Amino acid sequence: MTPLDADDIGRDVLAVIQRVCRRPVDVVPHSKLAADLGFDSLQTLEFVAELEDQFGVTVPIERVPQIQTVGEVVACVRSLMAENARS
Amino acid sequence: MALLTLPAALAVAARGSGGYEYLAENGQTASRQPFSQLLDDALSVGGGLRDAGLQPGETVALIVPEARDFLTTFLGAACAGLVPAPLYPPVRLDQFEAYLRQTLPAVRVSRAAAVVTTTSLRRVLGAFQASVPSVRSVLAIEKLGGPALQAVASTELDDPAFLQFTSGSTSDPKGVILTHRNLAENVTAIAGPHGLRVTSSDRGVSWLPLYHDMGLIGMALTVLYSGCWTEFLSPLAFLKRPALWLKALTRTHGTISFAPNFAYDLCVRRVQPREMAELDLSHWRVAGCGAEPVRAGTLVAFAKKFAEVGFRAEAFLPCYGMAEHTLAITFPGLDRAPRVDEIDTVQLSTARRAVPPVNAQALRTKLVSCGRPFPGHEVRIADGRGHSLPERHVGQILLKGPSVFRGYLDRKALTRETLAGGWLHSGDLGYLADGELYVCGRVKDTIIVNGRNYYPQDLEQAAADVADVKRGRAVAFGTEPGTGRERIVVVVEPAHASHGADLADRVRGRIAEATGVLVDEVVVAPSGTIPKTTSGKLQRSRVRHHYESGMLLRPRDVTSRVRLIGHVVRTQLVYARAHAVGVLEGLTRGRKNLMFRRGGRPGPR
Repeated sequence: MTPLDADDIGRDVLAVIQRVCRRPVDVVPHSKLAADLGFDSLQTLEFVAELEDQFGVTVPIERVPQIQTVGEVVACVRSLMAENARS
Repeated sequence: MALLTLPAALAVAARGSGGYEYLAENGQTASRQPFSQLLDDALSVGGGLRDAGLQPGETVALIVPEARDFLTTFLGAACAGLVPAPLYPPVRLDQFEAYLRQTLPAVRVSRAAAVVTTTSLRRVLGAFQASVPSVRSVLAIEKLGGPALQAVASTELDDPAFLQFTSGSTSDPKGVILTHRNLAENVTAIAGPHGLRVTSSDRGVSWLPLYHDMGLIGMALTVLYSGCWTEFLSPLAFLKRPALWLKALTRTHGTISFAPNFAYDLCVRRVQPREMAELDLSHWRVAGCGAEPVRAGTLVAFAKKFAEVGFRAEAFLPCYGMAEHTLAITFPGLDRAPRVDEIDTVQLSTARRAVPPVNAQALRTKLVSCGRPFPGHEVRIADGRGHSLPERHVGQILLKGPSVFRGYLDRKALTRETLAGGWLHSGDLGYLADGELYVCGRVKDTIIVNGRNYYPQDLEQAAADVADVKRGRAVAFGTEPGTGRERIVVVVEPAHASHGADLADRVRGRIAEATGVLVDEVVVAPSGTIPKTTSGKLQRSRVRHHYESGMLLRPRDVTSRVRLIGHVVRTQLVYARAHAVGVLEGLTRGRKNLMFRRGGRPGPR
């Protein structure tokens, strides 16, 4: 699997995670937001809001429950940015 | 003022100028539904429900996520003379099996003749028809046909208005029966001269879920009976961007809004400086706070942060209420900064007295006044035998008056017990001082060791101060494994895997530091161990049961159980020093205040 800091999006997602966690955490692409990083439902929504601000995208609320791992977050941001670029 | 049934109140409101407004998720656009339109929509839905074969007096379970659909359906059912029973909608469609399992007991208890829902949920909820004998049909609101009702049903004030399932756990739900009289009395008290003094020029704003009593009765129905405009935003939208709530208050010049304590905390933590620049909270005259313990510290931090955008601490209205009392029980006066009582923690637990700290070093507890009962309603504090206690003595809070519910559906023994001697037994502990109510905790959750009472909320708040404890995931309870002496156990979930082996010790240390209590055992359990009730409150009794049966996890969760063995740190406490020595000395910080309201659901956490 591609390491997270291989590109700008991965690095920025990492930075957002550190901000939301308010402490340094070890993150790999298959890290689970809830089980490994300890995000509760409120933190998950805070994380989504921060991602939206960082990348200028809107994450539809119904997609939030499907995002379980950090790798899925990066993939989601990437696809939303691609949609933005097309429209 | 004459009391009105719900359909009659809607008919009156339809002749006035108020209504509901629904903010879209983007926070920009809103759709408006004046009460005149709402009446038409409700008569149409009511006609559809009758056309589907439902008869006046029958119960319908409502599982409707969107605010506009929900309120239209709720009032449509009322107009048709039906008794709506609002239930939580599923949050995630990919977990509908778990949702069905959790919701089934409430549908069964309600004896609903139909489940009313949306087209998209109907596919999932169709299962109720097969598994609950009383349910004749599962109806989608979009598919309702038939002619609209010509007029609202002629319901009597003492007929049931609706069923609330906000009390009790999901596995053993209790249906609270409220009559139209209960509703009208409570809503009139909330809005009236001894309450919020609502006028048609007030503007409400609410993100509270409408299947929750504070959102439904406190906001939606109070403004319906008062004839003013209210804007609703979705709970998820608020939780994602707390500033949306404050922006809605700014844009609409909102004057009234209620929320649990955690919502004010969330705004303190998450509203950004650039968002502050867009806020003007100077019109906000009632910032209601209830549905969970209120912390004086939260109110202070919120007032401090938002003073620069016009928020006044006098707008705070810390209040007390419960589902069995329709909603509201006590309010403080308007335009008054929260009144905080600073009392001696040790005297509170040993002598059950609320007195000033005995000296400068004494542990102190700060409690926020919830005010006085409404006219025609009574509050008294009673000891274990039901005798009234004088001021500043802690006992169970008992209630009387026209807002007290009729009973739990099909639970005669429980109803008799709860309403024994003509008083509603709240199950909450509190005291009166200068006629104002201060709430300290729950009767049943109270931990008694060596004749001293401990409030689990205090221990849980202290445990939550430890950085590696997951927010909201600390449970304290007393247990007696056959020894006769109650042991104090605290179960916490770690916030993340790398919490360190000394977490249990740090939790115990922090609790001793903050409360003077030496906990017998701290269990660090994996995520998901601590269940929540439908009210969002931690289920102390279930965790205790799991603890006492030696199994803190669901049996099927094999991988977690393996993790548990490696994970659980069970440390028997052996402190050589005597109980209080050294612990009570010089420890005066970090006291948490508890204003506690039972029975409600504190938001969709």
